[in-house]
Amino acid sequence: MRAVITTLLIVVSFLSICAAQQRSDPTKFNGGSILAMAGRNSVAIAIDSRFGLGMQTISTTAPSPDEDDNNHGNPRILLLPNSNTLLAWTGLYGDGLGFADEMSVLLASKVRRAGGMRFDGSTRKTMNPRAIAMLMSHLLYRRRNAPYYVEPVIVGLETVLVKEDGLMEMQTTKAIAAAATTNTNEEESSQPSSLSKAPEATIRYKTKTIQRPYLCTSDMLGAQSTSHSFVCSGVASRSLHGTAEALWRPNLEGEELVDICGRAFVSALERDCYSGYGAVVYLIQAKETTDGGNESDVCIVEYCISSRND
Amino acid sequence: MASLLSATSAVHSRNGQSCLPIHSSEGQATIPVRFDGTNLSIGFSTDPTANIIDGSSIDHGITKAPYERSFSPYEFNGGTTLAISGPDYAVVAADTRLSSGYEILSRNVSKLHPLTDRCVLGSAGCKTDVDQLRSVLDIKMKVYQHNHRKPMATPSVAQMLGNTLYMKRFFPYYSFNVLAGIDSEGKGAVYSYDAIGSFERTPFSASGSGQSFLIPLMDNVISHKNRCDERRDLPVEEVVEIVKDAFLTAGERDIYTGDAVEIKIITSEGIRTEMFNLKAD
Repeated sequence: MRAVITTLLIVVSFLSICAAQQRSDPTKFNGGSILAMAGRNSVAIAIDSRFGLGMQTISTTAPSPDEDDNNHGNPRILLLPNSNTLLAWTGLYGDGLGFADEMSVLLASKVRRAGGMRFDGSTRKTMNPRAIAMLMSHLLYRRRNAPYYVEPVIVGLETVLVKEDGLMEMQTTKAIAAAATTNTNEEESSQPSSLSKAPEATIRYKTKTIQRPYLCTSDMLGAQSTSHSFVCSGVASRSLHGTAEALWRPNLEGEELVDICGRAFVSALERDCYSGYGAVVYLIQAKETTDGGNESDVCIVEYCISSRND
Repeated sequence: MASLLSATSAVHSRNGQSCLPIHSSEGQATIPVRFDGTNLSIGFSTDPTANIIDGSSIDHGITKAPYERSFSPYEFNGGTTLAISGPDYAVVAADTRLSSGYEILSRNVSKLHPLTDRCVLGSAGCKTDVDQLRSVLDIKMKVYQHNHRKPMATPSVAQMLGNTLYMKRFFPYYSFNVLAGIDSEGKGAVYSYDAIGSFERTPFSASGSGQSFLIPLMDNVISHKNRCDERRDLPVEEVVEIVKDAFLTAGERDIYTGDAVEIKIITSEGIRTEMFNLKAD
């Protein structure tokens, strides 16, 4: 029905919006959509499984974030650099594969340079999702004149230091000094005044580390867009904006977050023929432990959402 | 040097000739271009008599490469409409913003038009076509009333609207309609249309610039698709709250939707109107 209007508008008003435009737009040619939502100490990301050449569906391989082989054929290409970060992108599949290789190599080299490959019990410095997002933007903009036709989404939990009452306290030199050391911040941070550069009175306060959700999406040239609620990318992004905007609410947790994210995702995909054929939701969750959020308390759970096969 | 790949990918085709679109206050305008090696910015050409466009003169080379302007009879004035039917009611809502391009022309223009006591037409699209369509329909309703001594029933209005739109099949009304009302049995009825009169009775309908934000949401909440919990009949107050939530969503994400929502609730007693404010940005 709607297609009839659009073909008419081409004839009468020379607008070039038609089914052929979908084919000539590289980011939409293979299809696919991603939705990510933030909750309390957790993030959920939903990806679909369709790989097509325009209107023709070629394969519907479910994703598998296996560390050995990142791309078990799933066209959304999941990357798991840490246990607290997850990357996925929609767009042209070939460019997605190439970009995944470039990202994987650079991430591995950065982790190695930060001493991440030692297994002698010393704490490994995990890369912040914000830093991974900056790396990704840099790699995309490097190819400004011949871009990778991908639309990435990065979700993760970043370790931040907050006061016990939950307010952010990142500006004082005490907080910066505390964050530079490894996470032993559960006691009162009464730093000796020799550590602080500014001549201020010693303020005693209890701090704790929390895992704060980080959501980021980017266009194909690396321009980031972050949000505290949700981000989406792909062919169904207009529909996803509508459903996610309506269904998201703050302080969702655990399975409820997965339920809301999955519901918004599947409802939007029903109305889009270039994505679908299965939805998988990954929940990155930080357990609320008494000694503060350790990186080891973050886990990723995979949920398969049943959806109609179309 | 600009990338040839990026330049050629931005080229469109008009009347078989490649052209680059340019911005013009009078509407669409294009410059014809030719990629045959004679007008690259390298500074030499193999053919000494090649038509190199020299932009250094006062008219910026336009007399050497004239461009065509075209007039489009249609303009999109924005807006979103939504209609939901129930067992004994129908709710239809539309925002009140009128826009043109990136400008807002008015914050207080109604897109809903009652045709009878039991039937309301909501239209988004080009305002002038919508106004003309309403005038034509009003006249036809009056003629029917005089001939048959009773107002037109909603399914008949639906068919008449479909026929009226199809009569302009080859120069359509740029109007995306939803028709909501109570049918002769007292049940709520919603009909969705395209621009040339193809219509269907549906449980709900959304049209306009915000339709892709609203339709999947309505699928989930009104038609109860992809849900595991029990389906229940929604009372009219709850549906009005759902409509307000839906327009808040559309107002957030669509630039053409905002300012206020006019909601009309149609029951067998008549039509009741409510206004609800949205963000004005």
